Amino acid sequence: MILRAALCACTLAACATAAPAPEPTTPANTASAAANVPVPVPVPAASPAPSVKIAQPIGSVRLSGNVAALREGKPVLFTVHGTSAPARSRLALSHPEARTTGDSITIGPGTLPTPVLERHRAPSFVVDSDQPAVLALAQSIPPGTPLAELRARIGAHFARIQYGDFWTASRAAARQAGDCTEHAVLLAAVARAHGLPARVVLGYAVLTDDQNGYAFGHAWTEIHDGKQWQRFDATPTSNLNPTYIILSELDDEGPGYAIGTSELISILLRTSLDVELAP
Amino acid sequence: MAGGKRARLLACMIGLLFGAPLAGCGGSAAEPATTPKSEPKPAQTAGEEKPAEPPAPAVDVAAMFATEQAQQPVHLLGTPDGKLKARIEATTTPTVAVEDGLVIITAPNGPSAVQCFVSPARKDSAEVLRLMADGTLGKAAPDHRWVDVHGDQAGGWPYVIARAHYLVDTPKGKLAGDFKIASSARGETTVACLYDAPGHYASFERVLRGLLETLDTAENRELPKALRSEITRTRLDGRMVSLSFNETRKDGKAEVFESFDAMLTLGPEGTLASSDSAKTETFRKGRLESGTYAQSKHGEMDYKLELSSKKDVYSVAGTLQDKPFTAEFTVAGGLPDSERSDAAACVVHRGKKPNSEIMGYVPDADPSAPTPMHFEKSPDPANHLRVSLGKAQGLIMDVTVDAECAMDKGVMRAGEVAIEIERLWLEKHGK
Repeated sequence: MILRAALCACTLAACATAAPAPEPTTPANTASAAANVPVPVPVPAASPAPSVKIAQPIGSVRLSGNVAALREGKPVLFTVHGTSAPARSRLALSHPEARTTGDSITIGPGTLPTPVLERHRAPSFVVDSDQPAVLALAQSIPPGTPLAELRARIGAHFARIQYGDFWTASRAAARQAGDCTEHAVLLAAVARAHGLPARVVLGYAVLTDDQNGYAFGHAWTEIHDGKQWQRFDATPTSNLNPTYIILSELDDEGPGYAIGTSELISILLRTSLDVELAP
Repeated sequence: MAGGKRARLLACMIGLLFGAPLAGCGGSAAEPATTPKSEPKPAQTAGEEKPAEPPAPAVDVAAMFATEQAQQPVHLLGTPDGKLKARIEATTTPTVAVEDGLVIITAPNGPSAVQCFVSPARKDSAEVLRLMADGTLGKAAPDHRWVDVHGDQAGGWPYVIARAHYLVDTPKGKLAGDFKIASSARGETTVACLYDAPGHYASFERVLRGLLETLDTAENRELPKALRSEITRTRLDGRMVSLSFNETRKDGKAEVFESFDAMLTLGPEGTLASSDSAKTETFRKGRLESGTYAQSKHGEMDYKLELSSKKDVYSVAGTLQDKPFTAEFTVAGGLPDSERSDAAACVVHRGKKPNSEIMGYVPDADPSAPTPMHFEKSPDPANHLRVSLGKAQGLIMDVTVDAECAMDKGVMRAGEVAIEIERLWLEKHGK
């Protein structure tokens, strides 16, 4: 019985990204605007092409503190509040620069472990670099393509942004659709197909304007260029130059990846962030 | 879940819909006071001035879309072979036709007629709604926008209902229309109804509810009585996300649990997203023996898995995200039935233990392994238990339970988002 509740919990990503009800005004407005004069009738817009906009992110969190420091590119520390004890433990374990303090976890500027592991090269269930759809895409991009261009090619492969699922790389390649998670796994898979170590990272993207900061759950890719890990975000979000906060590598790339990711999304949704200048 | 027979019936339904007076997705639409682009007028000579045409009256489309109809007479209806009996509200006598096993009910109501299609087979109700909407509204009025989706139950039938506003081109200009559609499935019967006329949304739902509450079909009559049937609804910030129908039946010494879940949500830009999942689990001696699990989204299969067991070892085989999938795992004592899992909740609820844990098979979470579920007292006084799911217990739901410690309702709060599950209907017939 309670397992039914679990099912919803596991579609949390989908639930959380359900769009708000659209205004039921199109025809009504049409008529009221029309009166007796021939007026061009506004037609509901077709789905827009992917563009630089942050609609329905996985989950947004409250952000406070020295937001200006982020905008100025200064190093900052992030204090994550309000997670449960197991969740804090998980974040502390999965983030090498995290330390738990009372009810919060403090995370520095952040890098993930530097060694390249075998799993960063091998195909997995979700980063399935051995599947035909991924291989076909990888083969359409010449080996040795600069990584920034590789990122752009993967971004351009997506015909539409589709929120709510977390598909494998091969499904994302075939459907040419997805949100940040699909972009991240597909870029990682194509990189691995090219023989480059790659990993998927989960965390926050933080955007700032003149007044406010805005943080939301996000996923991106790190590719090892032979010397170091480099971050690549194949989504249009990257064009907004967000600040990235690493929470965890997608360490379980097996068929059970959904539960770990759902847990992390759930943590993201019930946290708030304090931003402060790094000492 | 899917099947050739089902696909054919669905195609048949859609074909019939096109042949039906598809109120034209325009024929019954409200005509806004828009006039076609005027032709350039020739210069007029003095003395020839004609009186100006009276302006077309402005139409308040918003008011038309808010129109409802008072309760109409209820008519008894049925098929000649007695396989279907029901009552339906209609302004004048409804008609019943049977084509290829599909019963088509046309019930005049207000400016148009509610049309209902009753199929003698279970279909995925969210997908039925989406396909019928695509086949009718999607083709006749591609310029549309879904404005509402919700769901409820009537007489033990879970139903989802949706409304779209649309615009169509006509020689006289753009016409605004208001399309309603609903679907419901229970046992071996599926019902889909639609209504294409301005307003009457609540009236349409009332007609649908009246039909479902009285619907008696031969296919469902022949089904064995369930031990327990239940309908639950999941809402996100007050808006329906999904409806679930769960039923437990006796099969010899085994108990068979069936669950059907229809998810229907409004997507970006007024689109409609649908997902259906179904599972059948067989329990014997308090433990899960075998199961089938399937989920599709927008008509595409997400997974289809078969679970079997030998003592405490479980094997899973099937397709997951288009790929062949197999897994094996062991659970000491076997995966528990609902009685054992409710007992784990009870020991905490009744204060016998501070916490307890059981394992469940939740393919959405992890198709390759059992998922732990942890119970403890809820710190929220309005709830009885806190249920945490997953290895890091990152997914947390506060629940209230009934006398048998089965969940009555639950809420998962994640920041400003609240996901609520509530039981809408329960029927028990004992063991």
